[in-house]
Amino acid sequence: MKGVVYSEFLEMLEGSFDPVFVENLIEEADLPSGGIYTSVGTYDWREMVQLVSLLSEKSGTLVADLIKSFGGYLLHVFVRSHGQMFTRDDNTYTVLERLNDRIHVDVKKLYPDAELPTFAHRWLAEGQLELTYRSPRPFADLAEGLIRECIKYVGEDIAVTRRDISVEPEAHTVFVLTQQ
Amino acid sequence: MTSDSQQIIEAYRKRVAREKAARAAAERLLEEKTKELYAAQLREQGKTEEALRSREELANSLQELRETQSALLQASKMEALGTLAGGIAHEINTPIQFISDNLSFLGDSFDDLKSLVETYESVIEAVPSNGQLSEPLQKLAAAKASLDISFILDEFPQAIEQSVDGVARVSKIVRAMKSYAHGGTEEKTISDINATIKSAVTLSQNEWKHVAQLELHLAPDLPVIPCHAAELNQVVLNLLINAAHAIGECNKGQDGRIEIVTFQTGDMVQIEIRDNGSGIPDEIRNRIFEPFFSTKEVGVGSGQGLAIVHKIITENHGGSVDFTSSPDTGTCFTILLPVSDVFVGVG
Repeated sequence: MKGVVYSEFLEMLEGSFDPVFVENLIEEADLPSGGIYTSVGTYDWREMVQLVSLLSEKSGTLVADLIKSFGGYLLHVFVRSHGQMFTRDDNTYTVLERLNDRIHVDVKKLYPDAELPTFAHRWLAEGQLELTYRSPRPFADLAEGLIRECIKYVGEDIAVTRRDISVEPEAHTVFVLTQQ
Repeated sequence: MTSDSQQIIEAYRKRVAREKAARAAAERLLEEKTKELYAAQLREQGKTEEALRSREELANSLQELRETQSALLQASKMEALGTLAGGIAHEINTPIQFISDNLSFLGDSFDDLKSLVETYESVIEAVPSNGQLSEPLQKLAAAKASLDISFILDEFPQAIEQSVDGVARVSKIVRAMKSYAHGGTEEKTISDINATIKSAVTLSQNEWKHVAQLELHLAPDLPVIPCHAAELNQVVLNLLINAAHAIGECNKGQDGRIEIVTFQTGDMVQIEIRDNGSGIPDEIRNRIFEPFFSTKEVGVGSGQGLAIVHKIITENHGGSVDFTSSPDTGTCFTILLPVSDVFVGVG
């Protein structure tokens, strides 16, 4: 997992918790990296699981909810860093499509060996889109958080259903977005 | 300081330490990526240079291919024309031979006939015009007047002479055609090229002495080479005659100049024949070695001279003949003949 994800995760924690809590969390997680992340580095995704699990334990929030929240947080990070990509006419589908295309292409340019999740999409009917998430890492929750935050960001009324096909060895989840 | 404050300071200290470590890691990564980028740049540069080299080699190969193709085309055209020329020469030779013999017979016989006519006339004059033979004599006089016998007797020898000249010219062309078609069959002999050139210069003296000064710069240490000396003599002769004509065309007066240079270059003997004549126009450069191609007036050139030169040098001797030419400086023909290793330095 790219370091930028960890940096943003810690950034999110620092916005929500006091520094003593965050530092203690990092120390207690006893991470192989020591919590020292650079946005351009690559780190074992299990560190994210360790951090989130410990945070869940300490905060009493479910791991899945924490990851979904982080997905929503990431949407705003991407919008900030890739603001030039969006226009007033955008809808949820175009935003997600652009994020997927642009960000993944940018990451691949810098890190040709990066293992990125894939989002395949197909229209099931007018106003109904099926998004299939596949990843070697179990972060379908992060994808869900990002999708739901995107809908809120664009201000549309779209219902999301989720069906987990598998978690290991590959996360395979199907989201269906239906315009209301 | 309260315990909480100390804890916050400690947390920030840890955070700063983490940030420092992250910065160091980022710098290491940056250096690593920069090295990779530099190495990639060097590789790309190498690839670009290699691509440029390949492109240049490809262009050269293409050029060589075009030249070879053009040479093959020329060789094939000349071979076909050579065969045709040989056939025509053979067909023309026989009738030309008996025309020539008959003309000689007519020329020789004319004097006898003229002498007989003159005897008849003297006898006629001696016969009395009013006698028994007056009527036949009047008929003879009328016939003589109607034939204009004196004109016939005057013009006949000139007509024969012109015909003999014409036939001789045709024979010369036929010989040249045969020479083009059937050259190079005899065994080569070891010959001194300089001596061959001197011989050709002497033979052709009448052609160039009125239009040009001739200079020889012949390398004294030129190796002897295996060749058909008579053919090379013909080559030099043809080029000298052409040079003389080119100089004659531009009325150089005392400034006409022909230069013949020989020297050894690598395993080849080089002969250069230069003139300061009218040069070869651009539009015919590709055609001058073609058989029957001539810019000279009808009857002056056979169109075989340079074709024979080309055939003798390239086909019979495995050499090459080329030229440079401009209307300002004239023409320089360059002949390269291979020297057999065995004979290098012997001359």
